[in-house]
Amino acid sequence: MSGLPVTATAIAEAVAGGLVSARDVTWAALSRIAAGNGRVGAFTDVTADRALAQADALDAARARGEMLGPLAGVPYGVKNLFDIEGLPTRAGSKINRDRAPAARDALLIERLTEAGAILLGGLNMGEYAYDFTGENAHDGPSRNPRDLARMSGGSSGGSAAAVAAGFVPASLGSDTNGSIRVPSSLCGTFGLKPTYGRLTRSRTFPFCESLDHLGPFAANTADLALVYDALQGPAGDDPACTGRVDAVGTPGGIEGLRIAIAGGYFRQGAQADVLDAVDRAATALGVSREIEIPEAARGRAAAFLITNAESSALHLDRLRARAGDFDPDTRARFLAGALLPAAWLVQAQRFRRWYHDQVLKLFEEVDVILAPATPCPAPLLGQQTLKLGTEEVPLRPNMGLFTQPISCIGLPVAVAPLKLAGGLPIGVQIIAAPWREDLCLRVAAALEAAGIARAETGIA
Amino acid sequence: MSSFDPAKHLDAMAPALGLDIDPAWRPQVEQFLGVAARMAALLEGFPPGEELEHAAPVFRP
Repeated sequence: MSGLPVTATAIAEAVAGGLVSARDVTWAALSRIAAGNGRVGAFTDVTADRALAQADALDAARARGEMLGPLAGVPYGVKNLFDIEGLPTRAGSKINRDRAPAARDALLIERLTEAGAILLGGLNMGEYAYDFTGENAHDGPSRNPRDLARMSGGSSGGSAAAVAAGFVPASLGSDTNGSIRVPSSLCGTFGLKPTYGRLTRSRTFPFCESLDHLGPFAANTADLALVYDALQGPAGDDPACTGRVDAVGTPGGIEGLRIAIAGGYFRQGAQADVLDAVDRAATALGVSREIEIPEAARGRAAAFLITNAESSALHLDRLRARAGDFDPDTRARFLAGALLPAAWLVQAQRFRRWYHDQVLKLFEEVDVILAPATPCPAPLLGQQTLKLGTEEVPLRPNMGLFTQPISCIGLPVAVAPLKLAGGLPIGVQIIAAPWREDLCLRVAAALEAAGIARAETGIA
Repeated sequence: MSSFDPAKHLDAMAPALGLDIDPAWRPQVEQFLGVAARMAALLEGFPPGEELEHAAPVFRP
């Protein structure tokens, strides 16, 4: 199978042009998964029959002279909280395996199918998405392809690992507090958390409605933009989705963009080499200006409380009836969240509105803000604490230190992967004003073009 | 918020919500209640004033 195109962009061009068959591309991806997934743990379900049937249908359509879609023959996987027809939507849990098989694909899967992409299956995730590690008591962890002894990050760990392992050129995940950006950073992939309300969550299993976002992972920005464009469209039955569409196409240059580094909160609590990576990115972009995102620590606190309360209310019946079937790592947090005083939640929502208004004012002065995605590169699997400076802190809550204050108010963020001296990747968040995913992707593309950001693929 | 006692809070609230919390899980649940209390303390009284609107369940950036 050598000589087949690797990137989504190249696959789609080659399949549409008849240079390779969708079947050969699909078969090659299924073979990579069969050979490597046992070590990585990225896929929890592989839908091989469906994928090959879809590939054959695409090849037949092309043979009839039909035009193929922009993602013709591109294999991909989805976090297993997306409905996949015929499978119970497990959302990383044991309990959900008792659900009836989904009658219909999630709307975003239908959109990618329409564009010619080929679904290869469901991807591992932290239980009910309440996770930053990629570990899972029921399915085992998704492991980091850059170092299999390390965490993939969570909760969309399988989504990042599948791309980083080179199983698929793209995948879909969700991000409530950092679940696209944390695994992108740890596994060294590109990822996009769009504006809250951009991509429909129709027929996906929720975590925290007022913070849940869906988005793509890929190994380069052109592929990320290609998939993102195919995902945009009407809301379906998602009440928070606006259905707004702003196609990015090929991300343009960064001339004239006002870019700044996030100071204050975002310069504390990270390893020195992580801050150095942000500075390398800034230097490559010709940026030295620092800007302060006001009250980011409180933004994180609000996101924490809203997530804790909302998600626990969602799971209250399951906590009453089947608490023993939860992953021990999520159970205690859900139980605690179910008990929170109402005033804490109301105050968090009230702060969130104030914080939103303050942060949006920053975008009168700048277009893009750079910040670290995680305080450290991938920790070892099972690691419980994290050394930040001289302080030893609990790992799980602190992996979202820099992502939570941003998703709290729904801003779009791309993550671009840089490499640290020790060889592990680290992600830089590229943050823009609502609906300006195009700016996030333009800056990511500039870092890629400068040779600063790059996603490695394959299993180390 | 320094007077917040996770154990007492748990004892009062869990039965009210119909939650049966296994004693083996209690230390971790109390730990997370403590984390939440610290987060809530950060937000107490901030921003000041009572005239803000839009503490909205539907949130559009």
